[in-house]
Amino acid sequence: MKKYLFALLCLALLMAGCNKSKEVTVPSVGPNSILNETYPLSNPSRMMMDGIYTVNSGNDLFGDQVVIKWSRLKMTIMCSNGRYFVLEAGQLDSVVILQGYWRYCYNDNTGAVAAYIGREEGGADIVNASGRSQGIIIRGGYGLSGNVGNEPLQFTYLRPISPAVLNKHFSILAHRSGGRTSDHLPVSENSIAMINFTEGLGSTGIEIDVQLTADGIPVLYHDADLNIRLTQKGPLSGPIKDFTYAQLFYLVRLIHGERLPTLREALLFTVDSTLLTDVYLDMKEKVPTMSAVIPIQKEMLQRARDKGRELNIYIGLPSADAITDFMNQPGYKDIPSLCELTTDDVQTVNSHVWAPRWTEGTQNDLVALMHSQGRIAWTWTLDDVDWIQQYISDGHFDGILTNYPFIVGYYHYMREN
Amino acid sequence: MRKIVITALLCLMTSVTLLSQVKDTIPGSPLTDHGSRLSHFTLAFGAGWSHYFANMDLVPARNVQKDFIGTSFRFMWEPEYRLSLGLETGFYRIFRVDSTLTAEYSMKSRMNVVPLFLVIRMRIVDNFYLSIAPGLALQYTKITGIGPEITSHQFSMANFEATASYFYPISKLFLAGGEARLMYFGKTDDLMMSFNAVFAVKL
Repeated sequence: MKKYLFALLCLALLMAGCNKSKEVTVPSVGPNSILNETYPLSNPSRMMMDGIYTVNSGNDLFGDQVVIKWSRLKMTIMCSNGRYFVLEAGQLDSVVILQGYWRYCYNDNTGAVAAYIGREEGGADIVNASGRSQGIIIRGGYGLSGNVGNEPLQFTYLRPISPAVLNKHFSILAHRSGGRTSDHLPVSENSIAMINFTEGLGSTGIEIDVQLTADGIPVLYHDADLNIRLTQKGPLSGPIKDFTYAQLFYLVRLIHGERLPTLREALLFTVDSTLLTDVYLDMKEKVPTMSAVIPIQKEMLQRARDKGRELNIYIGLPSADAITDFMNQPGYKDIPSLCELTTDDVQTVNSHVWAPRWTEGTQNDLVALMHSQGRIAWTWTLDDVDWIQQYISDGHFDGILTNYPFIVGYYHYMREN
Repeated sequence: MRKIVITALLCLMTSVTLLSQVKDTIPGSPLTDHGSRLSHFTLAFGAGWSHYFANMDLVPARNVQKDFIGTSFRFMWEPEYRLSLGLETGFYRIFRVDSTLTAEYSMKSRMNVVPLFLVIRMRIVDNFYLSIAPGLALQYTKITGIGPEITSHQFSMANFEATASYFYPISKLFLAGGEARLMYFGKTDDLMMSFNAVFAVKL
């Protein structure tokens, strides 16, 4: 009998283990949200809400302090432990209404959030953009297990984010344009939708994966082949480099239904529709790709300059082959690039960014060397809370690539200088 | 539903396999009754109908051609026990999709598979066998209609097969019978079944 039970258990585990993914529904307060009745907040009003807050209720889950930071569309609340909020806001009669959801990045815990800032508790000051943030109190409730709930929530404004921190150009770079498919975000990695979504997670820059189609079009995709982990099941499967862009356009959808974007489409959206300041092009191909990518990089940098946008687009150089390909391009020393290899390689190709793997340590001496040469240093891909905290407190990197921008954001914005 | 069917079949296979060596050698099996045979090997060839359980997100099942002719080749080592071991390969078309995408584009997509399974087979009663088989598979996708014709291939590493076979001895060396087969290809999450007429020869 034990044999039968053991065999049955093994088979059940085997079959359950083959599930390709699990959907995590983004909690919502429903279609009759009061936000529909509110008026939008101005940018100065939003910026007044940025700061460090004390958690008066909800600190069991969200820690003792949080960072609130507005991005282009959303308000992000960053916690010390990997939890974060993505909220929308509006005002009605000098009361600021906040709605959205919280999420824990290391599992699928999530819940809806509804909160407000009363007229006398900072609401009127925010609506009038008076500049007086002291005294803001956010009250509300959050749900557990994905539901709208009534667990009490209260944040009290403690202090502003240090001007020294705000003035420092520190890049919070989101891996695969915002996070991996395995992180169960509501949009697909390496998609236009994710580029639109990522600022709500606290990102100030993105890393995107670039590959060439059979007809030489650079597209965004991470894996070497089309597979059911990243794409919806369709009539195409196999290495992405085998297919033309037209075939991918018509026959492939990313896991949440988006089309596979070309690099040009992705950068166009980044320039025109976001406030992101850094783009790291992670070149996935082993075949030469630089000649297809550099003209697009150049065009988009010019477009950003024409719009008065602060935007850096760096071509990633992850291998000796990529460096060889890069050095075959005319004027390569003037092309903005990011080198993942040694500091000697960085100097050889005159990369603007040195980006070592995080497991190599903080390497403060080499980072200082890069700084002395007018270069910057990023590290990748750092996801653990403790390591992020240590790298931000002890390291001198100018940016961190992560799947969890809100954790990097929390420890960065909490700094005093 | 597919997973329940697979689980049930694999449970049956495994539970039988676990008890497979409780008894000693059982004479009388058409495949293991060697008599004057020189070896313990059998070669089998099968051909028949295959059916794909369409599960595409992007193409409705009604637009997917699912029924084709498939073939299988199996080489078995059959010692004088209930259990035998072997290798199986074959050729199957998994699906064909013909779509009109726009006024400009129509498209034909075909996927074929050549599996290589390690087969563990057990004789349940005279002439009737059950087998399970993990293995590899080479999958070919051929696209025509949008741009140039493209053939792409990939390896699927996690694949399973379950088979129920019936063999009837038609002479001392030859057997004929039928096989019902369920195959799962992990890389593409494809499930298919086939019913083959099988001809086997004792080597």
